[in-house]
Amino acid sequence: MKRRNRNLIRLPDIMTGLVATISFGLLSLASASHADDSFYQPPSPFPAGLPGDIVSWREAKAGPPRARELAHAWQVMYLSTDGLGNPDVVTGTVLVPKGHDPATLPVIGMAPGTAGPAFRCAPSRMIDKGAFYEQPAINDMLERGYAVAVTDYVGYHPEPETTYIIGKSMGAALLDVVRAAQRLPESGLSSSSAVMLRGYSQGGGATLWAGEMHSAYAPELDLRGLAAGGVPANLAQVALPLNGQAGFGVLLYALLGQDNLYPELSLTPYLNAQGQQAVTEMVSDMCVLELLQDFQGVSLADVTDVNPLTGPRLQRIAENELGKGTQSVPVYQYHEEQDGLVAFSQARDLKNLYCSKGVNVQWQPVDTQGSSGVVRHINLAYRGNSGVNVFIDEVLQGQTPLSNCDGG
Amino acid sequence: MSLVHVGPVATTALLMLLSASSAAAPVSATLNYTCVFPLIEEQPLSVDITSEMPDSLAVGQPSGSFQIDGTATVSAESWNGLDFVGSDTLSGQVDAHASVTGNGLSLPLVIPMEIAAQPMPDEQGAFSIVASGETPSLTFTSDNQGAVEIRVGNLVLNLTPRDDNANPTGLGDFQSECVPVTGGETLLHTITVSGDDAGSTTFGVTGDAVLKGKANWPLVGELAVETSGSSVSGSMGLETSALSLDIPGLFKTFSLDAQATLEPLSSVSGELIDGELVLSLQARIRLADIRLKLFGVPIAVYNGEQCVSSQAMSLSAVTPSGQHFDVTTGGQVTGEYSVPAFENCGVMTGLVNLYLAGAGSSLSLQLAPL
Repeated sequence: MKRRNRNLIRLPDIMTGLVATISFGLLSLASASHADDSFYQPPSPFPAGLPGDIVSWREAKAGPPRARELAHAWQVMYLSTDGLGNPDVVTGTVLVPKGHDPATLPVIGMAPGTAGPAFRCAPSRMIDKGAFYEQPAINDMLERGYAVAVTDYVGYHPEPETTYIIGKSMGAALLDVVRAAQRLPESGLSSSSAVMLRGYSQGGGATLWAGEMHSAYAPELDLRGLAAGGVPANLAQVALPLNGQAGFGVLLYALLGQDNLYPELSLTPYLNAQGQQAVTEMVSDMCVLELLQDFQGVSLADVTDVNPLTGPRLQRIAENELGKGTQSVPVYQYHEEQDGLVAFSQARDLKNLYCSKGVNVQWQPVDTQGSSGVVRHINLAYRGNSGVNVFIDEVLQGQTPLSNCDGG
Repeated sequence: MSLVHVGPVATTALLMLLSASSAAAPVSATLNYTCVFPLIEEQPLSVDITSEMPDSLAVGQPSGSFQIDGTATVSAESWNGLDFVGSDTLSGQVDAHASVTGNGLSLPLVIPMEIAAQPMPDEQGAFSIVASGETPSLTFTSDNQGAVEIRVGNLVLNLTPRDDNANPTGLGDFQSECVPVTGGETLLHTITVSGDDAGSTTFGVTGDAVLKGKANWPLVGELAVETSGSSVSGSMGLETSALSLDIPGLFKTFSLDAQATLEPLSSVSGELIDGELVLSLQARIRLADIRLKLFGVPIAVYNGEQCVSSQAMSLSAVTPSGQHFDVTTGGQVTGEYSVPAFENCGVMTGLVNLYLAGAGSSLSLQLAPL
């Protein structure tokens, strides 16, 4: 066994991490990825239109060389709806595999896992420069001849305000990026294309939120199935185990994400000086790796003077619980059995809830044998792909997946 | 190992025989890249490349493949990203994009290199990974004479990190594209392509001659040639060997045996065009230890050293039609000739001339580069 004696970086070390990450930015960009950030600036006011309408678009790179061989890609800004029901604009990426008649292609709406609070973390930016950590999932879809529409979620602009882990915001952003892909003239995709949604971790939550919202929000989409892994279904049950643990950065980011949507919430009055510094640095330059590394072992008590988990916030946390609605299409749900970031039990509870509502659920617990709970969660971001691929292939071929609600 | 023929006239170019001037010299360069990795985005990567390449090559002379060894220094931040997702070993493959440019020449190359599996270091820090591969062989044409530059450009890393259980990590198998920090390609080496250089090579010679259609004479030796353009010149030396002939009589069979030597009277000259080698040589045949035997018992003997064909004979040998002679692989040549009369063979002179001299002799030689 390899020795892992990397010191946990606690709060006083945050500055060290920050200096390291800032120094990356001084390196010259590796290739002709987009350096112009103005694309991400939301227009003011928002243009009139319907959710999923294209606001603007530009050609982009589909990822590293293999992806560029496989597909054409565009960055899109499209109309959507925020978690309070108000109009919003969201950015994303549309990828269409080469060598096919696009009008015949299914569209896979892909909901990324946690990218991070800083502007540079936006999935569309990562895809364009070849640094998107879920690129293998995109390539799997492209190689099968499926178009892919990847949402960035709400709030990635030069002054980022990401509404991290807000269910309705994520669900709308995902459904609307599929509409945007269908409506982007350059894509050639059809508005009647078969649609599947997939995502892991935050993306697993977004996928199931989109599924619960589908019939009311985007009933015209020919949704066939949902593949969701590492699903954060009950945010309270996900967040509490992270306090003082390796995943605290994700917890702090989730609180920040709520602030960015809900006007009655603000973390600022609760934060101590260290906490304020941490939040400032998060938004300025931290992506998921820094979130997971720079806050290991930190607890709310380290960054706040007063407990921020008050009534209004707990109310919003409760609002963002999956399973209040139901799913009308087959669901493939998978989870690491010893997941150290998104608790296994609350995902299994959601599966059971869906099953009790008659949803066709294929439930797949996985043991990746990872060296820690966090690594186990990360492992399944990639190793869950094979099961997702099979599920998507089967559903798109017209097969009805066998639910294992009875046996699970 | 594929042979890359540069330009349309590679076939004739291949006729150039060269080995002396292709001596390879050590080549090294340090290339600085920016690579994009998942999660950690742009990262510096420094690569020390070493190889052995000739400083000069003749037109038509295949360079042979070059072994390329690269040692990349990966940043500490890259270690951190790989380690964080649980990477325990790293292996993969690199496509090194290169170019070969010169007069009338702009050839993009992709050199595949392997990264053998190696453990990730335990401690955070910059670390080295080693990759190696081979270039294809290059052959230049007369149009390419002058400086030919070999430059290295982008790298595409196909990385397969594995965890303690040899399973993929959360990043899976991923590609990382690396671009030189200078933005362009980096000069690795310059080769001077010259059309004037002579080449030389030595062939092993095996085959046989048949004198007057009946006397068998195995031939073994060496042919050393110099080439310049299409012209070929050199010298051939053959070992003395046993010539034998069965002479049918009315009731019995005689045999004529001798130790025969082909003695060159001139250098070998000729040319090699489009795979056809033509060689010419003036020579004579010397016979010694001549025995006429009946039932294996000598009945007439010549033991002198003076029995030779009286005049120079013209030997000419050509690549048989349908075959291709290549200096790198050799080939066959055949010819027919007339043997002048022998003299000074004592009591055997008449017999020797009766059976060995005159028209209708042939030669077939296999030339193989030594």
